[in-house]
Amino acid sequence: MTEERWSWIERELRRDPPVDPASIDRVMRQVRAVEPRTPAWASFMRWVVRPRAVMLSPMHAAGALAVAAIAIVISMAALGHPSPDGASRGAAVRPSGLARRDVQFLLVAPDAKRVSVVGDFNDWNPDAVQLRRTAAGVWSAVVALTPGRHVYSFVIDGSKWVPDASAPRAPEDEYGQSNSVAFVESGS
Amino acid sequence: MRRTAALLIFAALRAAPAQNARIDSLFAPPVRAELNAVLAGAAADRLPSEPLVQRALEGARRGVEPARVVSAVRAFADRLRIARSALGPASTDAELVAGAGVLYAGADRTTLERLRRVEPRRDLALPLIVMADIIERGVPRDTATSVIIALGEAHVRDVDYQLLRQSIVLDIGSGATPAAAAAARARGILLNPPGPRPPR
Amino acid sequence: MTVLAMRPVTPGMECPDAEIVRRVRGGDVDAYRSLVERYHGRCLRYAVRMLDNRADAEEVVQDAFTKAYRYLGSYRERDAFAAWLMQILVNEVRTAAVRRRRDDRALVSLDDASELTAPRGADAESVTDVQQALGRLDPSHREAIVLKYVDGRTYEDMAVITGLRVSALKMRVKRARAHLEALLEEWTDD
Repeated sequence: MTEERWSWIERELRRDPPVDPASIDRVMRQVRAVEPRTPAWASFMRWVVRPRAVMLSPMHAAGALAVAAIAIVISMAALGHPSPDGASRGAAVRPSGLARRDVQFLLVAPDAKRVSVVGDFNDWNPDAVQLRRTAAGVWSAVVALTPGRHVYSFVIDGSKWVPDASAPRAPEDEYGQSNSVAFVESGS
Repeated sequence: MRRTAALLIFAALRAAPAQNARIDSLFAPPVRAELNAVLAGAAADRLPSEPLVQRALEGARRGVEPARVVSAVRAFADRLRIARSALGPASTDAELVAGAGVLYAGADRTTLERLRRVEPRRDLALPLIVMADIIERGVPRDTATSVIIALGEAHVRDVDYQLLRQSIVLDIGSGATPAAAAAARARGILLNPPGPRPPR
Repeated sequence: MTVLAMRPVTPGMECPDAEIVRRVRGGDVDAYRSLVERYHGRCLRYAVRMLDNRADAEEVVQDAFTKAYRYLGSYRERDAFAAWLMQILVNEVRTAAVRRRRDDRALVSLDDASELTAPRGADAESVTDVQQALGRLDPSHREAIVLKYVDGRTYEDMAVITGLRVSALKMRVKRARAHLEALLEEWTDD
């Protein structure tokens, strides 16, 4: 195909759709229907912890991140130990002494400077579990988890939250992004 | 006025102190009160509260506006309630949370009831996790339900559910439509003789 | 091949995005309109090319602006609002495409394993315009080529928006372009 032909295709692609002035009004109507923020918004935000989700500064774009993530759940039975604190969290009756299993979290992110895993096992605290980097740009950490369903996400460089691409997805996305699921079998 | 005070004290006494500490450190008083009310209601209904607390903490860490966190936690508690009613009071926390996920993905309680009827003695957490995941990846709800129920009727092993999920994900990645991938892979598993029955 | 220039500056409306965001966060909802006016056309153009359906595209753009408004609390001023908005839009479009494929399909019985390949529309029909050709592309290729040639993004911008590496994006654009060219080779316009 000639360059001229491709330029023609490009021009076709760039043709603008016809403008409908009412579109803007429709958007604003929907926006106004969003829960209005009270004047106390500013003081609410002061209380809420804000290490942020999902945004990448264009300044980091040159080091754009490759995020092909793998989570491998491995059970290293030798390291299981009882978790008495499991019983005090949550109201449901649970047999005591449920042995935790070691779970390995892996993320491929060669351009990241730091990576942590956050989830329902560490209060979603990005400072709690740092992954360690290997030579190939693979980040890894092993965490002892109680049996059952856990949700988690990775946090890159303190601010970009990414799910684990190959793990099952938790559908709940009211917060703008869904998390990944780790299911830990109980030992038998 | 006295009655309100009594109710507030009663509510405060019922809330578990350990959870309050984490909520308190991350939310302003008005929001704290709303969240604690949801938690108290959940505790009264014997729903697992840790997943609810964690959902609130997650919202705080993600910088989500407080009103949205409260509504998400409230909705989660409602789904747990429905999951419990559909899956039965003897269900594990993992089953309830996985069930809540399937409800969020758009399935209804009859799906959960059917699955429980078909596999009364099996831990349904993994099948439910797989169902929610394949729906999220584009398999229509009805197809996903048919597939998981069919596997349940055949009493396949946990590893078969994991295999199903992984194969579907791969097929979709190769360009298959999610519905066809789910149907084909389910058939493949059902045509193979099932392994030993799951324990319990 | 020229990359599209930055958005044209509208006379009398040169207030930077970050300043408008600050006002909206302070409670001035009406100020948000300026951002909508600034980016609606560009967003719509992207969505129409991706979804090939004006009504769907309008709805998705509306949802993206609404989501951006709702999450304005998490937007950090040092990031480009336009790039952040675009990330939201790209995700909304992806979700809409999945949802649409889902809704298109009625209950599939377990015996129905016939179609194992994805293309909408018969391959036998020849392509009669660029939009049709776009529709034949794999969604991830279409996304890359629309961002590059319709929205006029640099690869660095695209990397921020999609979360993919520049090298992966270049590969996708290359393949998409080859596919597009192949589809349109036969077609001569009169």
